[in-house]
Amino acid sequence: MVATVIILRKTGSGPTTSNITSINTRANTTDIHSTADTTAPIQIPTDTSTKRSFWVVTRLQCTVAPASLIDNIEWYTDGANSFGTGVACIGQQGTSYTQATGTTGDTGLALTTGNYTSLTTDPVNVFTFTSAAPRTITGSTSGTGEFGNSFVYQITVTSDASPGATTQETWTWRFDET
Amino acid sequence: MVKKETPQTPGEREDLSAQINTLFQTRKEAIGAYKSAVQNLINSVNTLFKIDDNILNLVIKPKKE
Repeated sequence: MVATVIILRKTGSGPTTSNITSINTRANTTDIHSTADTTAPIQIPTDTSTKRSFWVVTRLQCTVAPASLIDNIEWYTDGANSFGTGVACIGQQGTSYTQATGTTGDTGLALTTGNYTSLTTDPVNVFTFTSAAPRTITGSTSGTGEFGNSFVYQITVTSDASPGATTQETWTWRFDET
Repeated sequence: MVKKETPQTPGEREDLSAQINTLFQTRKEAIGAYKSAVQNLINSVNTLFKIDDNILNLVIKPKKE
């Protein structure tokens, strides 16, 4: 039987899991999933500092098991930052869940290996991960449930950004199924 | 190699069936159709920015007398 796999966003202390497969999730300064939240935007700084979204934790979940195995998990972008001037996105894989935090309506805690201790290495510009050079995500499954490492990312903004909603960027998870 | 002769007994038919299944399985594994399929899943992300306390500096020129 062909497996059924979905993308989860994990939030809160539980954590709560939300199915974000084929939809938008907004990376604002709040630790909830929404497609278009307007209550907790990121404050654009007026000085040389950087403001951030709360980090976004995503992971795969298998709801119908594969005939044999799912492995060779990869994560990538289209390679071009279309968020706009002054906006960047950093990310990395992590081996466990750490709840996002920060100041709602202002900025999130910086995504670093110090603040998110299970990141396998320092977060980098996610647009360096492309279909030709994806981020390899450790893990595999032959059953149901969440599997593999999480991919964690955060949007950052500097003073030259414009207010309002950004365009949507598409992230892709790719894996082999046997 | 599969026998070309028509099987005459139940035993021969079972033997031929087993040979065909073996060949079919070998063929599927050889072409990889049985081995792996790549799947893609996508989602999108965006964000919302705000600027608080916008200040517009207006210069009011004195009226000429």
